[in-house]
Amino acid sequence: MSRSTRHARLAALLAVVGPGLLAGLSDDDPAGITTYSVLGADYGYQLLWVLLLSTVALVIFHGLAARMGVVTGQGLIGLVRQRYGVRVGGAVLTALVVANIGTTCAEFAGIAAGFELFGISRYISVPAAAAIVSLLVLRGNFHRVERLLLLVSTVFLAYIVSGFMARPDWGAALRGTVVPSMPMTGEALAIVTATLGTTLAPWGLSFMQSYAVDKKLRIEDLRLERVDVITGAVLTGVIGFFVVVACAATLHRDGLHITDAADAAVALQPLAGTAAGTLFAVGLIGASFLAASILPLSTAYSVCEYAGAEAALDDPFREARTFYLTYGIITLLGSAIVLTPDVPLVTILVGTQVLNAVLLVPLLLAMVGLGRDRDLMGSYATGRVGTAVYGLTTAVVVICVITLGVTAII
Amino acid sequence: MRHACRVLLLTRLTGQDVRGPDGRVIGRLADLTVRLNRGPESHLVERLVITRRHDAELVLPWTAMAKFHPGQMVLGADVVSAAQELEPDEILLGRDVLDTQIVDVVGQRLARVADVVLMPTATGRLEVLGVEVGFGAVLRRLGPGRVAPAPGEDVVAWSDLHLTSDRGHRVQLATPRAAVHRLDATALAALVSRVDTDAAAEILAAHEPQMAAEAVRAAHPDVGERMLRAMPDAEAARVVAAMPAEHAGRWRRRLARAPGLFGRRVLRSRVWPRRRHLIRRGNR
Repeated sequence: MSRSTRHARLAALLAVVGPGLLAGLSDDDPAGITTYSVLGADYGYQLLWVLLLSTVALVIFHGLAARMGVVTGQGLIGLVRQRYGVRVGGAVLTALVVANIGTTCAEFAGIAAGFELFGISRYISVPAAAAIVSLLVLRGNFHRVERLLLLVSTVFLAYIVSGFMARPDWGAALRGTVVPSMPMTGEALAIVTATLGTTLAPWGLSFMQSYAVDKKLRIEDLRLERVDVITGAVLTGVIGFFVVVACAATLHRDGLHITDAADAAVALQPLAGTAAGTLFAVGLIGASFLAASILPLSTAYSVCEYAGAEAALDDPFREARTFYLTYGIITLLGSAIVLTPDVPLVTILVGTQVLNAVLLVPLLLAMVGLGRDRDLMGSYATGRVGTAVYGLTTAVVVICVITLGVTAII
Repeated sequence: MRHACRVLLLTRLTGQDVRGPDGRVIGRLADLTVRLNRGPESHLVERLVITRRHDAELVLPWTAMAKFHPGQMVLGADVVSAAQELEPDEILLGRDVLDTQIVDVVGQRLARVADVVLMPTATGRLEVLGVEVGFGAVLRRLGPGRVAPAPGEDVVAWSDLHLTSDRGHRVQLATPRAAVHRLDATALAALVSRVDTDAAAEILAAHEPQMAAEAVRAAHPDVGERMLRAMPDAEAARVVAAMPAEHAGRWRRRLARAPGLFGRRVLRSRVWPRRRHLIRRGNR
């Protein structure tokens, strides 16, 4: 292959890259990092295979979302309204908006916790972060926003470095990744479900599809978009792997338990060195910032698709009031709730995780139905083998959600 | 555009019982069709699709309707289902229009159809006035009618819209009287800026090179570039050749360059690709 051909292909790939990387990496948000940290601290390397499973699920469904966005040119909620009517679309949108507000709270709570590790009050960090993410979207054009968010994503490297610094047992990590085993306890089932649910998030799926539309990808771009999706999902899994490994090699070894990612950053310092703990905290702040930017964006896309006021990041405010107002309201609500004294934040975050997990089931079923619809997808409709794969993945998620519900009740 | 009285909404008609001459319920109204290339009759409902509980759906010409009032649809005698295939210029209002995206070529905006507005004519036919857009109509369909505006608050006239559903887009492109063929260069540039690149290229290709060239020049340069790149080389060359020499030279140099890494614009909506053209039961 000549150098110019290679350059042309690289240029084409760079032009397409974005939706898969951003949708994937933003799944490694504070809720995700917390889940991975608890997974590593409580179960060591044993449950690493769950990350492999969730990465495969991410590749499968983010790939489907990208394909539907590119082929139909519509976001997920818009398609649900068109295919299943305003009532089903409205119900899904309502659940998605409520869940997204809760998840946005989680992202701002991550920012607050991360900065407090460096002695900065949440009353400074949270409003500043809310202002920055709002300005980023209001003032920046699509490509500037995308490049900035991709730049923020590089902060995830901190987790990889942190994982290496913890000097893990690589043999045990490899065994835990490829040999499935798990203690049959309610807590273990819950953390497996939470890992799957936090990686394959409803807002991530809707963002993936809407963003592929906003990026103006075309059918000719699908092949390269698959590279983007796989890269994003694999990186998401790799980062999760290093978080688990860092906690397994230190906290689990010493029998320490944690409740959130900030705890993990503090606990890592004496065990893996100050730098490892600091990097973990920096990663938490970066992950929170990325997700705090994406969550309102994902919500704004969905609301506009449903309301029929389709808008894009490049549109000026006067042409896309619904889009920018939704973005602002979600950001404001998420940050205000975190700053409200005595608000039951833990209850909100746990409720959001449950709502996200429950919402995932109808959303995945809708996606499988939409993907199979030849009227919508034409020759890009899912075939029998694809349907079986999507169905199997959905079944695993359904079983996990039901298990979570049963274990919560028991 | 306001039509306070006598307007009917597609979503209120579909799902209603359709009775035979003996008063027995035959089935429910599932969809209505219109033919876009019928001259003065392009606005009139052509056929109705009736779903039956334990039988195949019926597709009947509107003339089979003996009595039509909102809430009362009675067919005449000798009901025989017509051909299931759509005519080349025929679209289904429920499947190809309702809840799909349209471009309002006069208001120059992209919107989603919340309802189809119809009106009975003096001759007993049903005429399509336009499509209702906006969240108010969605609220009305969801149920809280008291907070929703009255029908007809935000209606795009049937003659002023371009459908983005695959079938609607293609039928309108093939219909000389469709809105897409009545636009000047500026309006055409606005339209192609709001549909996806492939549809935009098809719309330009349906016009004379001179008009297409003017539309490319009137559009944002990035939009123009993507449309020209999406066209077959020979077609793009014809459009560029129709520009004034100075502009043509500039465009040729621009197109000779590799596409920019991040200069992707244009697509706001995307057509529904490759729909089957059989009449089928509506999706909702």
